[in-house]
Amino acid sequence: MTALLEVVDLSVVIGAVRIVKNVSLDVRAGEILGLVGASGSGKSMTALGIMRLLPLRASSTGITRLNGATLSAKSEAEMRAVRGRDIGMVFQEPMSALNPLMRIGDQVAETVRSHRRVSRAEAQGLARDALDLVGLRGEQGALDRLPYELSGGQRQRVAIAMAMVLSPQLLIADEPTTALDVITQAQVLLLLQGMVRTRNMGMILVTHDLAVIAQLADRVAVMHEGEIVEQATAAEILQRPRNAYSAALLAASLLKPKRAEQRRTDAPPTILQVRGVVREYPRRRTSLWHPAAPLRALDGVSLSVRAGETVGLVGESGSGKSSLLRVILALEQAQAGDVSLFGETLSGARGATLSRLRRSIQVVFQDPYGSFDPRWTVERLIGEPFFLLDSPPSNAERRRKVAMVLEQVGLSPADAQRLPREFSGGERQRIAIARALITEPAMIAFDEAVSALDVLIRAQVLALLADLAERLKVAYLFVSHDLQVIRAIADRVYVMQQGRIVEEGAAAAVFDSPRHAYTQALLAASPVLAVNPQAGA
Amino acid sequence: MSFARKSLGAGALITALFVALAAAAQFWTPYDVRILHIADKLQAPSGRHWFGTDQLGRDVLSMIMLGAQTSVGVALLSVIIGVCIGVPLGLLGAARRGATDEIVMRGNDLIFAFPALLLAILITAVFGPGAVNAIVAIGIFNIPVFARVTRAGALQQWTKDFTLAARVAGKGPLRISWQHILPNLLGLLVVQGTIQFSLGVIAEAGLSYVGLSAQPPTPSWGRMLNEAQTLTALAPYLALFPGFAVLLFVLGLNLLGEGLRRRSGGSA
Repeated sequence: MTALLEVVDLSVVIGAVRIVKNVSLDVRAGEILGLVGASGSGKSMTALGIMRLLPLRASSTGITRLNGATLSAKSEAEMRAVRGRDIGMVFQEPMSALNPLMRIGDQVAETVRSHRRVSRAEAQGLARDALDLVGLRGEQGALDRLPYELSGGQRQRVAIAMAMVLSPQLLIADEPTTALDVITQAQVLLLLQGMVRTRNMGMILVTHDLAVIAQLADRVAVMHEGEIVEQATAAEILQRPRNAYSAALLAASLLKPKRAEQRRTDAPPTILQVRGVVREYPRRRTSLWHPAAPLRALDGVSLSVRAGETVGLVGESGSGKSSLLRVILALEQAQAGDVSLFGETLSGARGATLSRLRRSIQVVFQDPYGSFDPRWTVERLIGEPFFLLDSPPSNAERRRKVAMVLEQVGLSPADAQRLPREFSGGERQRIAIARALITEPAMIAFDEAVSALDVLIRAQVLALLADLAERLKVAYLFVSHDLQVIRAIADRVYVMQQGRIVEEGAAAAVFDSPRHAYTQALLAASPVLAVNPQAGA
Repeated sequence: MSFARKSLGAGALITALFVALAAAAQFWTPYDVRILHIADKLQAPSGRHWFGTDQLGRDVLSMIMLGAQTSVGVALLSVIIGVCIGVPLGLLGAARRGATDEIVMRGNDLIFAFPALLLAILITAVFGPGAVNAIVAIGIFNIPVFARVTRAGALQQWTKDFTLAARVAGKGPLRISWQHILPNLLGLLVVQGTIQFSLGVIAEAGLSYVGLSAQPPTPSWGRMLNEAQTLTALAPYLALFPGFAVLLFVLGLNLLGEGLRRRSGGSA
């Protein structure tokens, strides 16, 4: 069978840097090719290179053929005819992929009208069919809706409809589900898979997530530093990766569930106790006579953390996880309920008491780039929580302590004089952990602390956290939307939905036999990378 | 060489030239302008008097140099007034939000609502004309500008996680403003300072043109232009040199500001 798309020796150069190096791949009709790699490996640039949509400063060499026609030899005008008609493309960010001022029917119809001479009514008819195809039927997919009225998942479906409306032979999807919740992600993946199979089209799925690949792809190309290091069937790569880098990527993606600890007879004391916390945010007034009902982000949440224990808090975006964390850290005041640390009330504490309590609870944020003042040295950043101490250490003592925590998180004491911009994302998260450790807290809260990291780095940081918990006996409250991560690190789990805790229990129990319908749905939707004996060993 | 770097280089060069002229005038000028040489009045530019002499026989080059001193002094001090009051107000508004923010920003709107020249006339009418009052009048106008720029930049910095980290470390909003927010706004403020400086040069020239800034015998470009007006037919160079001085200085400052803005990569 001949290939639908053939790419031979595609290279992309920006300035003096070769972003993509001699990439060759092909996609057959009815086949899904997964293109995986860490961020910066050149996978998106490869996809854009095939579409000839590279940034202005970039130039490409190599040959691409679609159904025998040489794309790389076409003029820009001819390429415009190919894009949308023969090759459809779906991007990562559903929020910015649509024109906010244009009705969704018109947006989908625009693709039709820029390629075919059809009447407005005909184009709208085709748009209707395409929206039906992606599952936006009836009221939900009314042609006159505007993007802001749709959820993220619905917008991504509109973007897919735009790519599919002219029944292209090839679909290129660049991280199409990365910005979506797990449940929506599962639906969108199923939709893409169904379309490729029933219409016998080819698809390139660009992603960093091997679990998504495992679920969808027939063949996989692994990219590393601009090169394809291995290309094989999905089953082969997931069972017996031959290249060292693919093997490492696979090993890092297979997060092993944390083994249940031996049940100790003397339960450690509870350090954090949250009781019936309610947090409401005011909403914009819509009526002159009645104040708007406030948005209830937290609706009577209770949880507890014992000394040395790792507690996971899972839920989709908007479920109230971050609000809860802010209340626990005394960054925001709750309207009702209370938070206590070592039996002392944290909510409403002031001055010296608040400082003393804050010393024992520190935090690591999600964004490794935004969580440091770019002008401060690492030493000064890590030492910032010393402000909480009544008698801050002398300079020499301070330096010694900073050096010590830097070593604990696997960095060198010499790094203390450098600026945050000199470090990679993973190293920055280590610095953030060092900053959290400096006051020797009893507990550290993590707000999606590994979700911005590549799988390899994520595995390293999770290993570091497990090691620190073991050595320092510090408790973690680990907030994440990623069930695999929570499963890999947590002893006990709370599941949150719409501001309420809907399920809690030992991690193994919650993951193996979820009781609440929402937990069951979450687990069913999250893509699982099957553990095989070789890689899991 | 990119436009940004050319602009920065040219702007810095022109600005440095005028500042150097102003500084040099403190110690030396080609002629002493306090002594009138009526016999040498209205001489065209020549080897002896490069820029010619005015109706009282004073050397125009020396007048320009001393005028630069007035110009730089008034503009600089008015920027300093704006920074010293406006920046803390902007930081305060962004840090406290709510009622404090409203009061600070509506107060700024109040100042903004006055036409600049009217306020200057008001001040000079009450306190009498003079360089100090010109500085105060222009300075008051710089306050809301700096307050707004600072507040906008600070609000953006407050959304970054490092401010949360500082709060977890127990620091209050004012301390965070001083230690984290302000240092990250320096680039923005330097750019705005350069722009306000150039506006200050224009404002000083305008005020002295209508006689509300530095009083005789202190030379100033605006008054030189005013006095040259009646003699345009007789000695056009009298208007030309101070006019060019204002033009070139303001151009230099704007190029410098634009270059700095592009280099910092911000959209200030």
